[in-house]
Amino acid sequence: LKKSKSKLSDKTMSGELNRDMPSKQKKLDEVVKGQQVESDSDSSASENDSESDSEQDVGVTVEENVTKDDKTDNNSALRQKLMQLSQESWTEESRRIEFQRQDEDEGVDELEKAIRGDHSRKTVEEADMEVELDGSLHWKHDLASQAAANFRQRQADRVNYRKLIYGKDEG
Amino acid sequence: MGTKPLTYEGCNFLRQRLILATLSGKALKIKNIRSKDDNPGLKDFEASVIRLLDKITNGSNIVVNETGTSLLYHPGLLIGGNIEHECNLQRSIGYFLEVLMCLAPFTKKPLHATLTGVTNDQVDPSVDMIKLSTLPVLKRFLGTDDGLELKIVKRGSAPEGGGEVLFQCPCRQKLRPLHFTQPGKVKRIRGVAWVTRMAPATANRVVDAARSVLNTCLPDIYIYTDHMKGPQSGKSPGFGLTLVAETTEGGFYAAEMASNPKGSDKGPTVPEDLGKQAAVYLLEEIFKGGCVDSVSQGLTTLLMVLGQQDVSKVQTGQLTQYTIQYLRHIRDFFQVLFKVEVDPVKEEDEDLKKGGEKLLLTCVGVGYSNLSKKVS
Repeated sequence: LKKSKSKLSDKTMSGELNRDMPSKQKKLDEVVKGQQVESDSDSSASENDSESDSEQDVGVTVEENVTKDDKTDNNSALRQKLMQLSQESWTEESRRIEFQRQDEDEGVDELEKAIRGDHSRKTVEEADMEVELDGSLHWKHDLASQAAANFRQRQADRVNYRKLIYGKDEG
Repeated sequence: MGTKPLTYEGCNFLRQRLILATLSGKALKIKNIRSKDDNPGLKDFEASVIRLLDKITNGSNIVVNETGTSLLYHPGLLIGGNIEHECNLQRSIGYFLEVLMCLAPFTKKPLHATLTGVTNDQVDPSVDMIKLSTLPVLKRFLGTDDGLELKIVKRGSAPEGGGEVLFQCPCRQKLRPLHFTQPGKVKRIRGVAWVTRMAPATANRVVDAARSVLNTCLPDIYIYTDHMKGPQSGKSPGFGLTLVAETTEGGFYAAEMASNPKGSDKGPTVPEDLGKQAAVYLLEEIFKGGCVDSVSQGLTTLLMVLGQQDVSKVQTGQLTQYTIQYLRHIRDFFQVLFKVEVDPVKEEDEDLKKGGEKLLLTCVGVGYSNLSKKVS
């Protein structure tokens, strides 16, 4: 900070500060807008990226504070704190929005899956595949019909010799 | 005589009906015997069976209508003794012998039958096959083989025959119940390669071909060659092979193959093909498994029913159509139902591949006793 202060003070001394002020403000606005755009476009932004952005923003606020040399140190410190707080609150809000959007997207996917599932009934094999894929046991699912199907298959395979030899009357 | 006779239609299973009517003492009426056929009525070999029944019974009343399409049979008492019968050449002696084997244990006197005709053909079980597989079953029910004999005096191939067989069987007042549910494993294979009126080398060719198949399965194989000469070789040329596999528990599986008869449309039979085919049939019979083979299933079920009032149980392979009909007729004549269930395969035997599905036949004997036999 000291180094940047000294650099900036050199610049102000040379009269460049007044010309740079609007550009700095623009930069700040661009950075904020860029972050918003990024948060809109990239829903899976990592925390590291947001931290680096906040660091950049802090740097910018420091620069802005230092440019106003004529104001007191207390004011500058207050401003700095306010800016930090605003930045932090903004980042938290943006994260919250991102998470909300992710949740909304996931909810839509689940809804779509549920709708598809209602329309097309899954076969037993698909259900078994899902059980395997999910890793959770659904073996209690539809036990009565499974038992009925197995019983019918066993009866079909098995020859009733009593009926075969002596006919229906003796069964 | 007063009771209404059991009535059937058609010519099928005539022997079964006659045997069961004789043993149960019930009158039998069969209608519409080939009534829609070009050659209606009983055939010569069926008439020959009826004549044979008439010989071993006393007091039987057999009425056949003019066209032979209807038969009424009132059975008499089984007397047995010495009989001679000239079997019709349309069927082999085995066809007639099966009837005698069912009735012989219940005769008044021990049966001593001399049958002449065709000993080997492609239709019926040959005398060799009956001797090797069915006779051991009969021995189990009788309890001993004392007086039980089946001897081939002359061998006669189809179509002209010329063979002669001697069958002796003791009579019993009661038969023993059978408990035979563990067939064991095949320990050896025996066989007879017979030749009549042909070069004796034919039998060797048949044996070599059969051994080429069977030697891959087990080493204890011995196949006899039977080449009869002169009047003992019958009237027609022919050759064949009868194989039997014996298990460790005394079960027998038999299979056979005979050459095409002289003048057949199929042409001459190649000895090597015949030998291999007979071996394959034997392996198939082993695959079916059970404690008795397909040929002996009918006799086994009948003698189980006619045993003491005790439970008899036997394991068999898949039932033949003939056996299934036998069970139905037994129900009609003796009111005995068999319990037929699939023999479950044990877990330790699943890897052994013990062949086809096995069945357990269970019944309670009717307590049939031979009232004609003198009690010494």
